[in-house]
Amino acid sequence: MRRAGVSNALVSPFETIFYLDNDSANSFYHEIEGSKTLIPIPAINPLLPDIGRYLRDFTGLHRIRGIKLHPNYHGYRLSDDSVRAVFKTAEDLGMPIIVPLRVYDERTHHRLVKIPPMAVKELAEAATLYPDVKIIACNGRTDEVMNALKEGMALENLYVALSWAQGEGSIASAVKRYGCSRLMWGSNMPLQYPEPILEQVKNADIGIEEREKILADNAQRVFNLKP
Amino acid sequence: MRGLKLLAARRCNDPSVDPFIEAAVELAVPILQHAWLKSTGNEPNESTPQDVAEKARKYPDATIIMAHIAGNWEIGAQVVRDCGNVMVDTCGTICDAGMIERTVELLGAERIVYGSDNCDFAGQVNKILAAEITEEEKKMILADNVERVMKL
Repeated sequence: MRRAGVSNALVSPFETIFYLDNDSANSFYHEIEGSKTLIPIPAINPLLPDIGRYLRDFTGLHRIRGIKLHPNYHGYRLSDDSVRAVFKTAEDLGMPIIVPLRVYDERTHHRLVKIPPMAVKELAEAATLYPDVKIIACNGRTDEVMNALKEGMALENLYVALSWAQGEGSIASAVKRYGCSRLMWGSNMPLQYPEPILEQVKNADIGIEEREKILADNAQRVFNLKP
Repeated sequence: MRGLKLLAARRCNDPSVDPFIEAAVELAVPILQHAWLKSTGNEPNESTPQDVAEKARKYPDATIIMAHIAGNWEIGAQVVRDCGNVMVDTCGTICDAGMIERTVELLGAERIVYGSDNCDFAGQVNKILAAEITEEEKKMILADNVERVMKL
C-alpha cells in the first residue's frame, strides 16, 4: 500500500471462498481492529444459517463498511430467495455489497478448480431487485466494465471498481460515455500489483476532478468513509 | 526486418513452421512466438510453452521470445527455464503480484523483455516498475534486453 501511495484499503479475507464457517474466515478482523488504514469488509457465504443475525452481530463488533459476496464460488445467484436476507440486512444497515466478477483470470485457474466469472447481467438483476442497496462490480475486463456502466445508466445503485487491467483508452472512453460518478479504483491486492490499474487511472485522458472521484471521492461517498 | 512474429496460424512445433524459424536464424533475428497455457482450453493452433520449448531445443541457434510468459506464467517460465535461447515478454492483462519477481528468479532478468500487447502502456510498464527487483533488472527488462536481441 505504501509503495503504491494507498492510504486506506477496504479488506476482505480471501479464505472465505473456501471456509465452511463465516467466522473462521472473518476472525482476522480482530487483528485489524483499531487500524487506521484497513477497513473491514466481511466476505460472506449467505447460504450459511441465520446470516441476517450474523451480519448484525458482526456490525456491532467491528466497524465494517460493506459486505463482499462470491456467488460463483459459493454456488448461488444474487436473485435467489436464499440470499434475500443478506440484501435486506445490507439495505437496513446501509451497507454496499461488493461482488467480484472473478478472483483470478479464469485462463489461469487450476485445472481442478475452474470457476466461471459472474455475468454483469446478474449484478444488474440484483441491482433492480434491491434498488436501495449499492452493488459494486469489481475485477471486470474492459467489456464487462462498459457493460456494467451501461446497465448502471438506468440503475443508480450499480457501481464499478476498476481493479483489472483495462484496454488502452478505455477508462477515458468510459468516463466520456457514462460519467465518473459510479467508478472507483480497486487494487485486487494482494493478488495483483496495484500499480498497473492505478497508473492507468492516473494517466487516463480525463479531468483532475474526475480522476479524484475515481481514486478517492466516490469510494468515500459509497462506503461512508471520512476523507 | 528486426524480427518475426508468429501468432496462432499453426502451433509452433508444427513442422510447417520450421522454414520460418530457419529463415529467422539465417537472418539473425528473434522470433516472437505467441503462447498460452489456458485452463479454459487453448485455441486450435495456439502454442503452449511446451511447444515453444520443443522448437527451441530443435533450433538452439534461434532466439525465441515467448509472449506473455505463456499467460500461465508460473508454469510457462518453468517450462522454458532450461532453454537458454528462449526469452519471455511480460505483456498482457495478467498482473499477478510476484509474477515478475518469480520470472526473474527462474530465468534471470536478461531473458525478459517488456511488452505492451498494445493494450495499455501505463499498466504494462508499471507491472515492471512495481516489481521488487533491482533498478538494474528493471532497466534490463524495459530496455537493454530488447536493444541487445533486436540490435537496436
